[in-house]
Amino acid sequence: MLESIQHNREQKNESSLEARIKYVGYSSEKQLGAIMALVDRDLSEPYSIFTYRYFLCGWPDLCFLAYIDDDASSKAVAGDQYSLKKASAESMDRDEYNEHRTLVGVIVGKADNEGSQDSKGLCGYIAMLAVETSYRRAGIGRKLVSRAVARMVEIGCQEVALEAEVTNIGALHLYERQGFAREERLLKYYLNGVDAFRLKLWLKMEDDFIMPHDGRQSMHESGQCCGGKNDQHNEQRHPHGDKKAVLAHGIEANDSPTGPPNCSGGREEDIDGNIMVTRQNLTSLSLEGRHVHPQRSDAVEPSRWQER
Amino acid sequence: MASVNEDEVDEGTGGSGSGAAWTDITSDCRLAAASLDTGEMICSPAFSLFEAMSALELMDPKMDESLLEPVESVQSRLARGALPVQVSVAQAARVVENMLAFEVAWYQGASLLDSLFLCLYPHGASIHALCSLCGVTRTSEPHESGAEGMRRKSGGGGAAGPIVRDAITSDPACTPALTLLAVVFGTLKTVAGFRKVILDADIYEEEDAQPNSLGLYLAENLETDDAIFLLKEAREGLRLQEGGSSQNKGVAGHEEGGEMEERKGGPGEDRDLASLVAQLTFRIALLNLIDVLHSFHPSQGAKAGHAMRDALQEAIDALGTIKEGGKETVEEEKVEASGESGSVAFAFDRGITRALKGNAPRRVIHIPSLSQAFLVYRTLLDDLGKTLAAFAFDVNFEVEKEATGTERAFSLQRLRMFLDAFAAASPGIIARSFLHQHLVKEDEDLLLGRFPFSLALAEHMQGVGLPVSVVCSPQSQAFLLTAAKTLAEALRNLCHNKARQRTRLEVLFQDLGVLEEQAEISDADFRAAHQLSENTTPFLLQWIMEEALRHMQSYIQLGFELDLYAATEAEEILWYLDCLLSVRLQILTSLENQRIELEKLRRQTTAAASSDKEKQGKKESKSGTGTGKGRGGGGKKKQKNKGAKGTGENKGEEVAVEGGPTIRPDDDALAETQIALSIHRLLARGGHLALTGLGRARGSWPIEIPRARAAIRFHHRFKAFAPLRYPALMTYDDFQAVHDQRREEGDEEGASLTNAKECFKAVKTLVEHGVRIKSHLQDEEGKVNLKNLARAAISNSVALVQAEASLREGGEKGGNRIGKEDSRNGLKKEEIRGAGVEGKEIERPRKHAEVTLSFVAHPQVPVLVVKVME
Repeated sequence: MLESIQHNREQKNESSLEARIKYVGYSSEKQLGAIMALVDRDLSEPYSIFTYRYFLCGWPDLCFLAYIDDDASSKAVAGDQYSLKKASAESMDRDEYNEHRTLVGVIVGKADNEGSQDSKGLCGYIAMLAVETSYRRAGIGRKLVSRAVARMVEIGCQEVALEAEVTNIGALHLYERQGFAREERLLKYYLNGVDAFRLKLWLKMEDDFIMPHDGRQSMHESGQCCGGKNDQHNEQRHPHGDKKAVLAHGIEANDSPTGPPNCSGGREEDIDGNIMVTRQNLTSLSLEGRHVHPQRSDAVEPSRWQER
Repeated sequence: MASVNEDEVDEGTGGSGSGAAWTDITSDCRLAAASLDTGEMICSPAFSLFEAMSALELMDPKMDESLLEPVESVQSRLARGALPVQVSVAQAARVVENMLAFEVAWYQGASLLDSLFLCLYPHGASIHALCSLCGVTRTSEPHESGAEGMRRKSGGGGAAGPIVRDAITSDPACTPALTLLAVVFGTLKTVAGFRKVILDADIYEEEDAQPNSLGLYLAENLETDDAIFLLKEAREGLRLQEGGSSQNKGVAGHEEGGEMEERKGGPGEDRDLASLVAQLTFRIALLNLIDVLHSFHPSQGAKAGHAMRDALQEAIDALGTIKEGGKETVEEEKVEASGESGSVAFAFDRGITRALKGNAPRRVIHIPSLSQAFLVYRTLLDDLGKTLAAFAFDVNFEVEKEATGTERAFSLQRLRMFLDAFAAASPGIIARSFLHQHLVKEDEDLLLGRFPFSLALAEHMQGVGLPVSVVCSPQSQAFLLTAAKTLAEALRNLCHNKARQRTRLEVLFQDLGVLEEQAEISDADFRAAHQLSENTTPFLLQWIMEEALRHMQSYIQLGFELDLYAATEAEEILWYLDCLLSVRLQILTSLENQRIELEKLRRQTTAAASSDKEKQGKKESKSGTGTGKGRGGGGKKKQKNKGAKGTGENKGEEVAVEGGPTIRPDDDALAETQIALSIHRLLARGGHLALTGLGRARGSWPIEIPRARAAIRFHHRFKAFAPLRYPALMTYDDFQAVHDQRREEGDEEGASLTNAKECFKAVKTLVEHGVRIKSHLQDEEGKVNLKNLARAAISNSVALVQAEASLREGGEKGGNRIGKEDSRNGLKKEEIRGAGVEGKEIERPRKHAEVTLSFVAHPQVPVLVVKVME
């Protein structure tokens, strides 16, 4: 009975906390300081400002932030000027009310065909995910991942990849509940000597591998070998993955939500919608293997990455 | 700021010194900067993630070396006496012990800058100072200090003649310094020796080892003989002191320059002297071992094997002596690399190599404790010892050939079994490199330096049941050559670490796919050449398919070992594994039956031939024209050569019998393989049936994976098999079809769980049978492995029984709600019988089972951990 009361109380606290958390997209370099501070606190790997800028300037639409409005509820209830400010938040300079909010979570990603095995399509990549320690167990990490993944699906990614420490059980649970699978183990991947798992959320089957049953029978059909052709022999894959990027995920244990295990909501249904990457939208999305932000110059010369 | 006028440069007027005009562009830069908003960046499209992560941020203490406190050079420390050269016995003992721990950090994967060279004595300036003190005059180690001093001189450091042995000091006061110098040289030579083994094999990855010497001096210009001579000299000096110390206990010792601690006799000094002697003996043994490793050639047969075995044993014995000698002080006196504690802190500094590391990523370095260091060294030697078993085929070959006249000792099957066991033990990079180096000589087509690979392969194919007429037919020769290359690569793959093994298998499947295609063509050609029907068994294809299945099995099992599969997908993974193992066993059985048939035919033919001979002999003896030749002349070698060359005259299987006896190198090996496969199949089948049963019993998984997502995941999990033509890639639909079929067949009655338990029970019987064979072969490791498989089966059985009991309890409590709509999840509850419990009706959603995987019993066989939840 006591347990049940406590559980209800916890749920109430969580839901009230949830109501106070706002999720926004990355909008300004002015947010960078807070992002860096949060990630530096949370992750084992040290990153320079260039690493942050590489992601944030290249793929600002794949960075999402979770803020907590410290006095949002009281002001909103009073119906004061703050509500109006909140309503038009998208078009306003957010710094006006920065002092009322604290960054409690951030996810940083990218989408290009760098990690794609066959370089045929866009591959999403989650580079950093950090949640403030005192705000864990509120599903913030889950929501941030959902938003980033949804955006990656929108722009036509075939898969989403990331690396996480094998010892970071909380992060692994969080990702696995979102449908990520451990694709590979990377021994001594991090600077602290800990192994990593490369996790992948596969969003579609590779066209080449969609089984046409071209005369072949599976073992369970035949029990033995039989005729058929397969033209996959010449496909080359490099066996050794380079450790180009050593990126970490700072979700400590129990960042995963405490709610019902099915975390999908409506969003996962979208993800499962088998969005196909066509040649047309690939061309519009990538240039020389890089995702090009609509507001970024495509010029080959050194270009400015404009602040949005 | 300034820039060179581009026009002038383009016109070829020269560089900065000839016509190029320097222009101040500071104002331009300020102007440009003013036009940028906060955070706006100028960057090149070539600014990749790699550049971003490699970029330095000035004034950030994490990256900017100039903000860190400068580190005093080794030379400066020597000059002001902070790094003593004239050390006491106790100090020498502590430094040497701890240097071993730092050396071991290199074997564990740290770079030399982050391990051995954090000790100050292996640095050039210290070596030079020690040499000067001890009168070691020949060595041409670098004389500079600091970063430059640590770099090796170009061209090997000058003179490289032998050391002047007579010039070495005999002053007892210098013995600890001489000991230190000898150990430093010995350690550098050891590291260089193992490094050579690693580099020669070239299979290391970043996570295995960092053999880059980074220009550091590794005593390359010092002959091993000289290094051993120094070690022996120092040992002699210490032994003399050992004798003296026991006579003068409690007498104050030597003092020099006020720097050296007063040396006191007593048990402490005896222990230190003994420890140093043991260290020196160990180092001598190591250098001898490395010499043997470098000169090892398996073709030398028994001689090479024995020499290595002796050298290893000597090193292991010597290591055991150190452990005993330093046992009391090792744990207490361990010096952290920070250099803040311990009596020899002066000899270690984590910052000393900072300048050389530059902006390289700062890895967290774990220096093992001394007890751990001894353990690592012992493991390293034991791992090297394990490789001997591969070369022992050679040794046994000689012995057995003399004793029995057979060549039973070597077979590809047995070599593979050895390699599987070797890889399963996850040996270190040095042992893996050493074995890799001698396993297959690609240019010579030799296995273990003496067995022609193609021949071994042909023998193996005949051994598993392929007719000699097929193996030796002209149509098969091209296939055999390609197959030998692919299989050699597969053997070598077992020398990589497990994560890399799995990745490399993905490439191997592509080669195997090509081989399957080639096998089909060769089989068709063979049929055409011998006018055989289309229904004739495609022998080569069957064989290569079995090879493919072997590697597919490894791929999945390595996935388990690397902890890649979540419990939610274990059911489909185990189902796939079960299918693969079933087909593999089917093929092996088919090949075995063929072999038996061929053997029968061979015997009949031989009997007929000898009967003819006897008749002929009788006739001849009657007529007095006998040749007097004994039976069975020619021996196996002759038969083998005959078989390998092949005549191409064979006409079908009957002719194959005439081509010579079927080579049957190792019945035990094949029997062992079949038993192992059967056990794994039962475990896989039991596993997926159990998961099916538990899934049904609980109604749904704790995490719902939509079918579309599950199908995509399934596809990606097994897409590595796509290049293989046989067996064809299975899909999620296949998996679902089996499920649906089971449901139709009444699995609702809990048959899955019952069958799972039966599978686990059957494992026990097979393990007992396998253990008997292993006992016969005196294969202790194999026995342990089998027993671990039995443990996994028992654990799974227990987990199932417990889960059933808990679920039944839940069903009994909620039994009266059967058939009603569940208010929580809207699922219509189904009426089922409790798993394995006749007649009891339970309601599933009342309780559900959450399953996780554990690998406590066997690294590749999951044990189900079932938690029944409300």
